[in-house]
Amino acid sequence: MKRFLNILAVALVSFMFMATSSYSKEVKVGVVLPMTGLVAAFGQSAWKGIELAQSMEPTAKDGTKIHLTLLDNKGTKVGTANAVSKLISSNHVKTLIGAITSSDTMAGAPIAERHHIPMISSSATNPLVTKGTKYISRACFIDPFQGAVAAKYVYNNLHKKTATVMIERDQDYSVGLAHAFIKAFKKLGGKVVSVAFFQSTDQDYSAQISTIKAKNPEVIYMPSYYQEIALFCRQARQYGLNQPVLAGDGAEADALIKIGGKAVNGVTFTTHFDPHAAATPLTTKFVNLYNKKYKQNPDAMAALGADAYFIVLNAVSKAGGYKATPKKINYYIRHTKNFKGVTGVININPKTGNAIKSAVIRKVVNGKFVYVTTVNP
Amino acid sequence: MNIALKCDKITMKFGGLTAVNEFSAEIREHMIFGLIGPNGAGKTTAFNVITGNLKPTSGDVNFFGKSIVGLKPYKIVSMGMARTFQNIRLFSNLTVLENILTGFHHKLQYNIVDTVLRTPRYYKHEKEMRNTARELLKSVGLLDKADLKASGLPYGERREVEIARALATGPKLLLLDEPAAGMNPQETLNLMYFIQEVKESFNLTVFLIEHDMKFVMNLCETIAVLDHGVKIAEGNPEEIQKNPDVIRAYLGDIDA
Amino acid sequence: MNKKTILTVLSVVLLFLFLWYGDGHLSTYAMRIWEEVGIFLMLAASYNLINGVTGQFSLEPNGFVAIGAYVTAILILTPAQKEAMFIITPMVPWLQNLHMSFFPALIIGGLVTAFVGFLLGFPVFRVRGDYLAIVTLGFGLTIRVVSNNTVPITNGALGLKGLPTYTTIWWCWGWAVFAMIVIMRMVNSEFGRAMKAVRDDEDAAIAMGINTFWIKMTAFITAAFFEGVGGGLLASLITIISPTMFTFFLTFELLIIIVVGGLGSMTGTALATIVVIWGSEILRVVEQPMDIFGLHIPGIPGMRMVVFSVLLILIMIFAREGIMGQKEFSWDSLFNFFKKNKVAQK
Repeated sequence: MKRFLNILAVALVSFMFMATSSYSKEVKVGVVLPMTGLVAAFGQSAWKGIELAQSMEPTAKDGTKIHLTLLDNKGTKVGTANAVSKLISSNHVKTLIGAITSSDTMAGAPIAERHHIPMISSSATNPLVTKGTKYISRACFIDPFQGAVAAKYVYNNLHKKTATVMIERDQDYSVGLAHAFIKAFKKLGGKVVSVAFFQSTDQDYSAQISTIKAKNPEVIYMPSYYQEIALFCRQARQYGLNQPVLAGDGAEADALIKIGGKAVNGVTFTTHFDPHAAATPLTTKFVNLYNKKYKQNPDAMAALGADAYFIVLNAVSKAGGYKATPKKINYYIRHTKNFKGVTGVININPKTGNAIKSAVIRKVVNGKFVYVTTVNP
Repeated sequence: MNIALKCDKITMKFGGLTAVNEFSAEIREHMIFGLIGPNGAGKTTAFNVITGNLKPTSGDVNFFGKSIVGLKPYKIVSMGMARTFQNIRLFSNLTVLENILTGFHHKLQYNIVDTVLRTPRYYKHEKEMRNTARELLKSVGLLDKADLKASGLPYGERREVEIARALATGPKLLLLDEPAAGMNPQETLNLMYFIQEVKESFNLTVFLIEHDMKFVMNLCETIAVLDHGVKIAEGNPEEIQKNPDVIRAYLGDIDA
Repeated sequence: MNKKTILTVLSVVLLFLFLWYGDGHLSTYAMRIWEEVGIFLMLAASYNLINGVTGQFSLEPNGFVAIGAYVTAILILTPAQKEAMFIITPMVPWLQNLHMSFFPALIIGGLVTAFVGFLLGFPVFRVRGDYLAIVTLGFGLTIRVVSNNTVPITNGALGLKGLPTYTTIWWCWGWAVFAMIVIMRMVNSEFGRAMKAVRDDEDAAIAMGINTFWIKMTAFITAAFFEGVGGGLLASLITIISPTMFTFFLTFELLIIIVVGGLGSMTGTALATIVVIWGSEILRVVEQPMDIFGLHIPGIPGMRMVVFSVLLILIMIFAREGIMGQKEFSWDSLFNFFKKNKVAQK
C-alpha cells in the first residue's frame, strides 16, 4: 500500500510539471462546448471539426501555436458561465470559441464582454446573442436570415403563395425561425393561412394535420428538429396531406431519414453547408480529411466549428501572433472580410458581430440529402 | 365525583365491518379504568375514536361534560387528554428532554417571529419550558437520562419516557394503549408502581387497554370487556374474573 | 452574550472578511463559484428544512426556483427591455411597466413563491401519505409547460434575456447567512422540535397536541420563500432565464447535497454545498489532456462526473447518514475533540 502511494505521489508530481510545461510562443484559446448532457452530440461534432481544423493549421502566420483548452458546459447556462469564467480568469485565454446553443452562449457572453475577451460562437443563431455587444461574434448566419431565405425560396423558386407554419412552442429556435419566415413571406406578398403549435414531446399531430387540411396551404413550413419533422411527415402523408414540407437546419440529421423513411422524401431545408457542394477550396480539403479521420461526412456543426477556429486563427495572425492582445484579436474577428471558410465565404459585420454568408438549401431525395441551391444574402 | 369521560353508544364501522358496536362507558375522575378483550376485539379502535383519530359512525364522546366528537386530535390533547401507543412511539432522534418538551407545544407562548428574532420572550419561555421539563423528569426519576437519545434507552425506560411525555401535555385523563406489552414480569411490576405513582402525584384519571390479565386485575378499579366490538361485561376485577361470558370470550365456546 | 455566541459571530465576521479579501484578490472565476456556493447553500438549507428536518419527501426546488427567477426577472427588467424582447406577443401592459430595484424584487419573488407554496401545501398536507413528492414533481413539470405557454408574461420559449447583473458575492452570502440564521433558529426552537417530531412519528406528534398540518406548512412555506429568493439571485447572476433552465436536475443536485451533508443537519449542508459545487469544478482537471511519463492521455469529456459519482458512493459507504448525520457542528464538540486529543497525548 505504501509503495503504491509513493508511486502515486511521484506520478502526480511529474504530471504537474508536465502539465505546466508550455510553449513560449502560443496564444491560448478557450473552447466551451456541451460534451455531455442533452445536446452533447452537437458539441462533440463541433469539437471534431475544431480538432481537425487545428491539425490542418496549428499555427498562425508567425509560427505562434494556438493552444486550445476545451471545457465542458454540460449544455447548461450555469455550466457555460462557469466555464467561460474559468477560462478567462484561471487559464488566461485571449479568445473564446463557444458555445453551441444560443441560450448557453448568452449565459457566458456577459462575462466575456465584461473582461473584454472576444468570444465567437460557431452555431448560436439567435439574433439576441450578439445584440449590443462589442466582443461577441458568430461564424453562422442568424435565424431571421434563415427564415427569410426559406420564405424567398418558397415564393420565388417554388412559386407558392400560401403557407402554414408549424411552431414548436417550447423551442426558442423554432419560434424565432417561424417568426422570421412569417414576416418575410408576408413582405414578399405570400399569405400565411394558418399557424399551428405543438410541443417537443408531442407524438400525435392529428389535430394540427386536420386544421392544415382544412386550410389547404401550398406549403408547410416547420422549423423544428429532425425527430418531430419525421414524425409529423409520417402522419401527414398517412392522412393524405402531401404538400411540400420546409424546415431549418434542425432537420439535418441522418435520424430524419431513419425515422421518417419514405415520408420525408421531398423535405427541403435551409442549412449552413453541404459537403458535396464545395463552396471554397478549403471545403474540399476539410471534407476529404474529415472522411479520412472519422470515416464519415462532416455535418454542419463540425464545419461551423472548424470555421470558428479558422476565423480566430486568421485574426490572431493579423493581430500580431503571440503578442496579440484580446482587443486586437477581437478587432480582426469582427473585421473578417471575404474569408474563404469551410462553409463558404464569410464576412463579419464589424458593428454587429454577425456573419454575413450564404445559406445552402438541401432536400431529401430517395433517402439521401441532396444539394439544391445556394442562396446569397 | 365528576365523570371524566363518557362514551355514549359509540359505533365505528369500516365498510361492512363493525369494529366497535354501541360501546358505552363512564369513567369517573381519579379512577383507573381498564378495557380488556381478545385480539381484534376493537379496543384500539375505541381508543382512536376517543382521542379523535377516528370519527365515530355514530355515538358521542363526552370529555368533562363537553362533546369532543369531530374535534381534531391535537385540539383534544389541549383540552387535557393524552395518550400513549401500543408499540412505543417516541421521537427516536430527539433526546429524552426534547421528547418531553414537545408535550408543551400546544401551550407554546412564543411565536415564529420571536423564534427568528430571538426576543426576550423566546428566551424566557424556552427557559421556563426546559425547567418544567427537567422537573417533570425528576419527579418520574428519569432526570439522569435527559440528554440521551430516546432510541438509546432500554425498553422499560422508553415506556416510562412515553408516559412522561404524555404527562407533559398536562392531561386530566391519560389513555394507555397496552402499556405492559412486550415487558418481562419485573418490568411489568415496575410499570405498575410507576402508573400508580404518577396517577397520584399528577392527580390523573387513567384509562388503559391491556392484555396482561394480572396487570389489569391488580391495577384497575373497574374493568370493561370488549368482544367483537360489543361490551359484554363491566365490573370490578372479581366480578369480571367470575363472569361466564368473559371466560367464554377468552377461552372460546367450550360447549360448542 | 456567552462565549459560544461570540465565537459564532466571529466566524461569520471571518467568513465575510474572507469574501472581502477574495473579492479583491481571488480570480473572478473563483469568486463566481463562491457566489454559486452561497446561492446553493441557501437553496439546500431550505430544502433540508422540509426534507431532512420535517421529513416530508418533496421535490419542489426546481419549480419554486423557477417562480422566484421569473418574478424577479420581470421586476428588474426595464419596460424598454421588455418591449424589445417580447417579439411574438407583447407583454401584458401592467407587467411591462412594472419596474423596481433588486432588493424589493427579490423579496416579492420570495413572497410570491411562498404563496405558491401555501397553495400547494394546503391540500397536500391535509391528507397523509407520500403525495407531496408526486405533487411537487408534477408541479415542476407544470411550471415548465406554463412558462412555455403564457407568452405575454414569460415570453415563452424565448425566455427573458439581458437581465441586469445585480447579483454580487455580497448579495449571495448576505442572503445565505440570513437564511442559515433564520432556518437554524427555527430548528433550534419548539417549532424545530415539532418538525423533527413530525419526521420521527407523525401520529405521536399529533398525540402531543402538535398541529402537524401547520408545522409542515411552516417548514414548506419558509423553504419556498428562500427558494424563490435564490431563484431571483440565480437569474440575475446568469442574466438569462428560459423554461428549460429549471429542470429536475436542479432538484437532484440539491438532493445530493442534503444527503451528502446529512438529512436534517444544516452545518452538514453547508459543508456538502462547498464539496459538491467546488468538487465538480476542481474535477475538471481529470477531463484535460495530460502527459504522464511521455504518455499522452487525451481529455475524456464526462470523466469528472464518473469520478464525482465514485466519490459520492464512497461517502455513502463510509458515512451512511452523510458527512454530519443528523448532528450539527457545535463549539462544544470542537472543544471536546481537542480535549480528547490532549488527554491522548498525555
